[in-house]
Amino acid sequence: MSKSFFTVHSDPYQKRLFFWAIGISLAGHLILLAVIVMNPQWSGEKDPFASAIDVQMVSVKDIPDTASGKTAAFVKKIMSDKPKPIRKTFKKRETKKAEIDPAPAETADSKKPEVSISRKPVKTKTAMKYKTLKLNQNFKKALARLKKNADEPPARTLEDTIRELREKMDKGEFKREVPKGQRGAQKGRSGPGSKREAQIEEIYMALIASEIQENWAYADQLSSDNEKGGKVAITILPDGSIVDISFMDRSGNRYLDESVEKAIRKSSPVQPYPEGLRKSRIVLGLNYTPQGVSDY
Amino acid sequence: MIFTHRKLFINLAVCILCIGVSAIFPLAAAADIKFFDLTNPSLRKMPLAIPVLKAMTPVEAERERTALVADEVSKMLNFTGYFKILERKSYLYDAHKSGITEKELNFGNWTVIGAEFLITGGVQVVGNKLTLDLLLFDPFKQKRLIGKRYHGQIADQNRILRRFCSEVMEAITGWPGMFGSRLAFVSTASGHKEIYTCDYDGTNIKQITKKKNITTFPSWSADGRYMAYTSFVNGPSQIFLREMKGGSETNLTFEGVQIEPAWHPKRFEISATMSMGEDQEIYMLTGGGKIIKKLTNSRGIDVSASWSPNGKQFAYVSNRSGSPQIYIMDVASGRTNRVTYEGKYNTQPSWAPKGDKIAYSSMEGGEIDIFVISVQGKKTIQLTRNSADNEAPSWSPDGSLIAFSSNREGRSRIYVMTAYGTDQRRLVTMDGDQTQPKWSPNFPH
Repeated sequence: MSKSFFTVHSDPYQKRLFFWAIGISLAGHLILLAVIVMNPQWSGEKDPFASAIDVQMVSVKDIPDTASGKTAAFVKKIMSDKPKPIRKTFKKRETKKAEIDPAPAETADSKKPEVSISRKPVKTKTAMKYKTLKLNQNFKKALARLKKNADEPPARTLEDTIRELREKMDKGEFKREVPKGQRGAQKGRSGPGSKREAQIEEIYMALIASEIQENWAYADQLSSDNEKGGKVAITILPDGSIVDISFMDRSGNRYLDESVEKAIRKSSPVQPYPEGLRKSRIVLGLNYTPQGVSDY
Repeated sequence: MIFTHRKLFINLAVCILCIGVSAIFPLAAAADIKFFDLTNPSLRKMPLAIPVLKAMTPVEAERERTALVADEVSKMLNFTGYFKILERKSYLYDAHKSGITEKELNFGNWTVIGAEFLITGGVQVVGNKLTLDLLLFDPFKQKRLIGKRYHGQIADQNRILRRFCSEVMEAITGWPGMFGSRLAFVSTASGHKEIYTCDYDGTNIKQITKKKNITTFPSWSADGRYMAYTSFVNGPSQIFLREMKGGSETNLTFEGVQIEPAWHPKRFEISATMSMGEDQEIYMLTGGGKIIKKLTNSRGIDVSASWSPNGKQFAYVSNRSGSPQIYIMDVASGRTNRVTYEGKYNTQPSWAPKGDKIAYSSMEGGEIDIFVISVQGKKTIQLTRNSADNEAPSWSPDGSLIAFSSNREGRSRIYVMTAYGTDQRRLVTMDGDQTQPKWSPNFPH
């Protein structure tokens, strides 16, 4: 016959020890519960497209860094330059969300088929073909572009983007970029968390996003009408290697998600951190929503 | 001992708390992630690499096929509009030095040139027998998606490649492509309007009817074994039902006009526009030609039925509002919804195999062009423009391509484009005018 617990653990200290264990266990479980509630994606629910999920890129050694030397030098040059007036205004693309068509309107009386005729005309959109394949127009545009380029040095969109970001930063438009705990950083300070470092980080992230977009291939025929896009976060180390690709919100279209993942992998390793960026890692978020051919 | 236990528990507690806190805090950090928008893919096709195949033995007959087979696969997959075939000059690969399987391939050589998919293969010829090893890889995932060995006669090469390409399309897009399909169309090559068929790529043209009269409006049955068409060979327009294999045919003998047959996608039934001495209305008939019921009943004429993939609805043209417009009828309830409101002359609806869109032709300013509209009528895309008349759209069985007729080069020809209006090219080259293309379902390879 077995003895009861309190018979065996009659020593008060042992009892206290037991309640300590219970308490710690309870606290641990509470923390675990809080984590699951606050971060539901950790609860074990898996996306059906397991092949593209939970991607952990430890390293992509096979992809040689062909451009990093050039771009790193370019970033360095930009950092050392004094801000110049923007030659060309960079307009950030607006992310168009695909329309979600409601279910077909039902006629009230099913016995008497009715035809509604007072509907507002829907605007017809033009397929991409006519944006890209109008030979005469494209030829004329190309001629005009060549003429313009002959008169002035070619516009470097990326450079313009960076300059604009820099200007915006100087105007204080990127307040959000300064971490909360470092808002007290003094102007002109160049240490970690300084305004200058935040500015460099912003420019660097814009460059990386641009690099990834350059490597992004996505067949229009795989797109769906209700494409809502998705969010992915990547972690970049100082040497430019991408160590983590984490989908925070999937688009619902496996092909779209995979195309973005491949674009990121193609870009890895991206250019290393520019001088003045002392962080041990940078997490860059990407909102991806391809403009369909019909959205042009 | 007691002291050790206490210390152990305190350490444990601290550890658990630390783990918990570190797990919760990244959530707050996630809110601070700076997001950038990616909206414009630099390439709107999937980069695919297809190096020459490996001669397995190797004998001369194999060596001469290594590039030939790779070229043929490139041509087939390029036709779909999904892929950009990467230039072979950029490949860091020699099939004869390297192998063709994942163990022998260096995927880094493919990711570095941006190849999102890779097809390798080997060819073996023994007498008249042909063996093809064909493999599809995802170099980024370093994963084999397809690996098959096909045996056949040398004459079977194209059939083998079509089967492989169908499998490639299914593995990548989820749909088996249209490599097993054919197109029916009307041509005046013989001096009369007759029905012809060709393979999906415009090759292998065959004349089906020889009525030496006007024969139009071809329609494939859901399994491709039967074709219906309209002919004036007996005087008034009559619908003929033909068994494709044996060539036997029968015609409907109802009073009045009989035009534009459309097979039901699920049942051996067919709809057709018939006048029966009244307005032209759409009727449902058995595959043998017996009337099941009258589907439409309005004051205007109702023509050109095109069935939804599930067979529960059909799109058609009616002039009940004063001008020809596209409508959808739900067969079970009889409810009708008007789909097109823009344009005064919208005809020839063709319901997409994926069920979400309807292609149609619309006349505006004296020119006919092809449009695609969502089934709900919310979103319209114009696919052709400034290229004379473009009409009679017909979807490929996988919904990725649209065949249509156009007189942009003078005479009316059959063309094909992607479902988004890109990659427009002529499909058929033959004498006379070609009109009314109708894409068949996929036949077994």
